[in-house]
Amino acid sequence: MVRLAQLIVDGIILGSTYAICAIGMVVIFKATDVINIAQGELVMMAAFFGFTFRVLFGWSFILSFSLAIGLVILLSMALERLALRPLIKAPIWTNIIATMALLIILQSIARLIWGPEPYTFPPFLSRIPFTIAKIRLTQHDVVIFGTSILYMILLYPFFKYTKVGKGMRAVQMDKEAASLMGISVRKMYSYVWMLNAILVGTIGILLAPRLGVYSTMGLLFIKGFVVAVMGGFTSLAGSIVGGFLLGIIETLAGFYISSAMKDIVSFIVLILILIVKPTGLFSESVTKRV
Amino acid sequence: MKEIKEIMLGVLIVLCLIGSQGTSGAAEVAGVTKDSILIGALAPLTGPNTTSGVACRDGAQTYFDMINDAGGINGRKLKVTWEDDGCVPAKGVAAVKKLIERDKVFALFGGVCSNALLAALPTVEKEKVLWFTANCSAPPITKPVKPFLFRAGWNPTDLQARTIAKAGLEYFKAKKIGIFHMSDEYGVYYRDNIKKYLEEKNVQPAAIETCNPGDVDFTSQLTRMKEADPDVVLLAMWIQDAAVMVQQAKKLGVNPLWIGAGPTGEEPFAVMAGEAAVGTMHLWPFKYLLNDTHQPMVAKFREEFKKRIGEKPGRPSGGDMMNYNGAMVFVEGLKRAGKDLNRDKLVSAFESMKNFDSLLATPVTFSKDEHHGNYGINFVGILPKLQRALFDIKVKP
Amino acid sequence: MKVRPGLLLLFLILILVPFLGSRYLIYVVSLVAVYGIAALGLDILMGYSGQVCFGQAGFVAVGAYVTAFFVKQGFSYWISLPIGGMLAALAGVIIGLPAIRIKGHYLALATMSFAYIIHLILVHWESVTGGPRGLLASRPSWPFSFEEDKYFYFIIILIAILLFIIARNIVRSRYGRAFLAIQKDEIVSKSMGINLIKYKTLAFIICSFYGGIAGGLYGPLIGFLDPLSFTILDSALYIMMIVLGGRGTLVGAFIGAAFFAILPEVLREAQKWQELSFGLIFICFLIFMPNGVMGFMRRYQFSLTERFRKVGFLRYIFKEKQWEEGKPRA
Repeated sequence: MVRLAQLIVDGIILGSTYAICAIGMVVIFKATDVINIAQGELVMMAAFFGFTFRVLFGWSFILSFSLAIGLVILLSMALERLALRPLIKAPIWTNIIATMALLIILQSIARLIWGPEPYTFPPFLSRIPFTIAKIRLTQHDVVIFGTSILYMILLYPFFKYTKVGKGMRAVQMDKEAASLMGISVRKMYSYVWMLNAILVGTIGILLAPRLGVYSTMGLLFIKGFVVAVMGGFTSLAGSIVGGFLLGIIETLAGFYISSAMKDIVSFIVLILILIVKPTGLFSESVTKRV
Repeated sequence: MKEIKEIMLGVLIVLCLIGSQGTSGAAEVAGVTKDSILIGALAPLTGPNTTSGVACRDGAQTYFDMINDAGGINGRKLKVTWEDDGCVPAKGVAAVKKLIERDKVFALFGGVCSNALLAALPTVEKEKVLWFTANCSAPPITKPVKPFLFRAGWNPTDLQARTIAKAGLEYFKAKKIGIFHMSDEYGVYYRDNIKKYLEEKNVQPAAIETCNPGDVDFTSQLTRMKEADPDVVLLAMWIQDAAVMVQQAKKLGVNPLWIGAGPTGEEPFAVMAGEAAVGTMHLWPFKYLLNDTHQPMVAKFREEFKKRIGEKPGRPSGGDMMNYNGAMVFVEGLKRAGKDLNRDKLVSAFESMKNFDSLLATPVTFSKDEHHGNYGINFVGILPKLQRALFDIKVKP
Repeated sequence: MKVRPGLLLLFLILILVPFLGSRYLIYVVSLVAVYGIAALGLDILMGYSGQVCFGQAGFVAVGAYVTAFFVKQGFSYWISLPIGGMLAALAGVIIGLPAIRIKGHYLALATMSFAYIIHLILVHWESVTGGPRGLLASRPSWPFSFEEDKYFYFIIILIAILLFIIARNIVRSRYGRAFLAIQKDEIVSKSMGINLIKYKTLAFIICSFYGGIAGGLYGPLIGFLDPLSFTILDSALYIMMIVLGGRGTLVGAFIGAAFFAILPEVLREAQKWQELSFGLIFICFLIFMPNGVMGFMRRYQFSLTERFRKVGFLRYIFKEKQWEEGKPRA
């Protein structure tokens, strides 16, 4: 029983990271119709920025963290301006492929600047596990989970009460109407990418001590896409639930079935969900009855 | 109509670009001129295995440059063209074809991924070009013997596997042995050969776990391993995955003696895994450690590497040293082939190499029936404070 | 039949390549043709019937491994190749089933999952596929040995041309029109009497069959099969090929294939800047030709520079003036 609980807890912690990446993707998608395939690469760049400040320059963690997030925000905005803004009028597939091109570009830039070797990011908290109710956790796990939950909680008032948040929702609902109401759609696009940068940047730096920092680490976060689709790609709640669900399914399947089958099971579950509910778990109803 | 014309033009231009044959001067023997030898070298310089590829290139190029500065081989300088094989057969075949047919190299060096090498083998054999590698450790490369393929460096994976299995069973007297391996070619060879060895000794592995390269969560595998409770676990994983895994293992209370394969012997593993790496043992193919600078060969290597490539945390790595050493063996073969170079003489020169002393744990010997040069491998143990010590466990597979 | 001089020139070049070019060139052009066949199938599925598929690498893998397997068992290559194609088509039916209900990025994920499952099967079903150790794929030996690159090249080109003609006939027939109708609006198509299930599945079958044949040719071309060549990223590559070449144009598939096979080879000179240059060139192509190369060609047949004159590169980065006429400002 304890074993099951341990697996579930680990699954939830893993899932919370997937969920944050998924939220970022969904936010961008709802506002701009673009699926950001390069999401993981932004996580990777954040980790590298953090690494540069913390390890190569030797600055404090807080300073490195803030600077790294700032740089990732700038990077996201630059990418949005240079690569995606010109493609606003282009067919949707061109946009998606453009983010794939960004994936290639960001990875190669990382390899050129820092080299292909994996690097270590020093832990900012203790890695010694402690036990609560017979379940082993590290302080690190708690911070990752806590930050994810914090972001999820903060997003709710952000979208409901702040001007920028409401502007994003307006653009998501109807670009032209929003524009007519005086909301600058172009600015909202930038803001959406900025928000995404904050979300994934945090994940990158928080996970860096655990995963290390290397140029191909972005590929792990394709799971973010998986989770986003599972959740319906239209609601944040869906991404959150989907994230936890996927994390739990993976760890349980890996234990009870076999480590080789872990991924197969996750994907089969996914396909089943999609067959039963073709638009994901929590999607807003998109059925058209004719 | 117009579209077809434009496409045509494009195709024509592009084909011309590729088709333009690069010549290296009128030479009777491909790649050999009065004062230079053209060598083609391969390494994965893009894609997921770039670290090993860059180590291959930097380590080997250090030695090649060193030799050139000292006057070259029998009066000829080495010109080395590095091509990327991306660790996939499709790109590997393209690289080899380009080097042999367009650049007209004399011989080939390097390669890290066995599958890319095996795919390019027919081309190499058709053109009778010698290929020396220090890395591709898949057993089929030298068993059965391929006439133009030579390797000295990493022992073939089947022997590596047997070595760590033997160490676990006989030297460490393990009562229960576990295996944790990657699902790629390297890990699978390990698993199969460890199993074979254990079967020969009538031992059943207590647990066999697998994971994919790039995984970050090993909770399920580790939880199962905790139940099986082996006292020794044989590990065949890449550096960052292994580092994350041993930390998670420590957190979950799984604490066997980890005996690792080649990749985990590298310094970055210990640095990334921190405390969790203390007390682990890994394969180490050399006679000396990287910081044994009182040994002249090691000192020279580090000095040259620092001069030409530069030092930084983690570099020079074991991979750099392995390919520096590989270059050493390769150049030795070239030297023995004499001033009057041709491809057949090169092959005989290699086959005549006996007991050539290099940085490797055992001296290099080739023969007509044996194209793998060195058998036998050492271990490195990671001590507290991440110090390292060489263990000569004298395990003969 | 009217003979277009442009087409004739193309044929001439294709025939001359093995005689004038090195084996390296033959290899690269063969690779273009093989990728092109797979991309062609995908173009019919994504470009014409509008269904997303992130599984093409899976179909190519099925074709490649099945063909190699049957050849190893002793069957002739000429029988194994169609078997590979047909089993890939069968996989296409299976993967196409969810497609009937699912669309868009949900379908992308579903097809991605199937492709991943196929990849996992390749890695773990070692007795048949050799697992990560790989599988040797040998060339046909009847009626004579095709070891010589030239001869196999002609087979590949022949099959590519044949499949292209078939594809063109399909899209010009009522099947093609049905595909386009389905892409445009499923509900209207259904009410016009187009059987959605039949045509959607058919599109998948065509795509997977083409992928399978491409795979069966890919194996002997490279000589060695490795599961790492058939990942989701490789599926994405095929999608990139058709988007870059022009979705729904058929010729675009080969243009995209040429881009992805030839450009990395040309960029070898750039040493460590290879990857970055490739990515930058790629994104420039997308920005300047958002409808693909063929889309661009069709719109701006007269002059390549006309587009630049109309648009002014610097302007839309820094000033964002309205540069596309007739569209509402956002």
